[in-house]
Amino acid sequence: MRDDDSYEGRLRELLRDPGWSLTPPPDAQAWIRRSARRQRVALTGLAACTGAAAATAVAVPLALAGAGSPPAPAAAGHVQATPLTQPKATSVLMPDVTGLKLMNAEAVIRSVTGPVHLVIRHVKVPHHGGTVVGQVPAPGARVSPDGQITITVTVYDAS
Amino acid sequence: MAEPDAGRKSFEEFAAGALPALLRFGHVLTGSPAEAEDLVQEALAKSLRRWRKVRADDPVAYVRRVMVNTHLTRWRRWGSRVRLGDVPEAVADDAGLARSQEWDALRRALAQLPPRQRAVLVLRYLEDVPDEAIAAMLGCRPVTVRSQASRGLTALRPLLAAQTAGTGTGGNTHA
Repeated sequence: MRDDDSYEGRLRELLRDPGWSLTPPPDAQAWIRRSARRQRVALTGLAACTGAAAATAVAVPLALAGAGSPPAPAAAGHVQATPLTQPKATSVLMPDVTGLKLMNAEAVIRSVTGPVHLVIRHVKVPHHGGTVVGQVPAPGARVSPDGQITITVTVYDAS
Repeated sequence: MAEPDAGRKSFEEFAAGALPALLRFGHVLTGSPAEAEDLVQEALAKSLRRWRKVRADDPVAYVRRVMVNTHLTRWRRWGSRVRLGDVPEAVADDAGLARSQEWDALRRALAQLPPRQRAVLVLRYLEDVPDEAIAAMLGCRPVTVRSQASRGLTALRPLLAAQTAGTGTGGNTHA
């Protein structure tokens, strides 16, 4: 028990070593606000992409139904939805995820494309990592649900 | 109009005061200065966006919780691809960053622990957070926290034993 106490005390001491201290960035407020802005942008993008995906999910089957069957007589003021067979998966537009953090980029991509094959490449940088710096296909290109998306993410390398 | 300004001012005061401690916590938690800065920045930005709610409670506890959960989530997502906790072999030879051997040994030993175990040890022994609060933060039971802490301590014991035995015998690089 005494040993346990001394180990715990030693660990406490080592965890409080000044070696763990880091110097705060010179303009901490701007540094925090920049990140808050990025988070807002990512969240807005995510919401927009989710909305677009939901709209596509509704609009495409309705459009296919309209094209595949003769127009049904609709009662005045009513839009009648016809039960459909499962529509074929269609390609979607690739969102721009450069500049986002990996987690946010993945969320945006998945929300738009669904279970696409995502490959993540790493590029070593001497500063903060975790940001997407490249993507294939390019923003705006078409991606099929069974296609592959490659994104390049920075990884901090101290050496 | 005064209210947003007051909120902004109180956040700035909070961030300025808590930043050094949060950076140190992030450094111990992740083992990487860059990752620590990234984590603190993200957590403070999150708390800024919800400041009205966060300030009413315990802002430091909130930021710490966000840091721990973000770190663990990243580890789960990235762990198999990138070892963010890898410790560089060479420590910068800046005189201001001179480290004791035992500190360096602990740094390396902590890097070998699973991130959750490491988080428990850091919260318990650096921040003195009670087991119940750690459990609430990690979404597990206090008994799990105790067992994680015990396992972590067991893993570090050879190091700590050597250092405890070697205390005062010159196991230090400082002149």
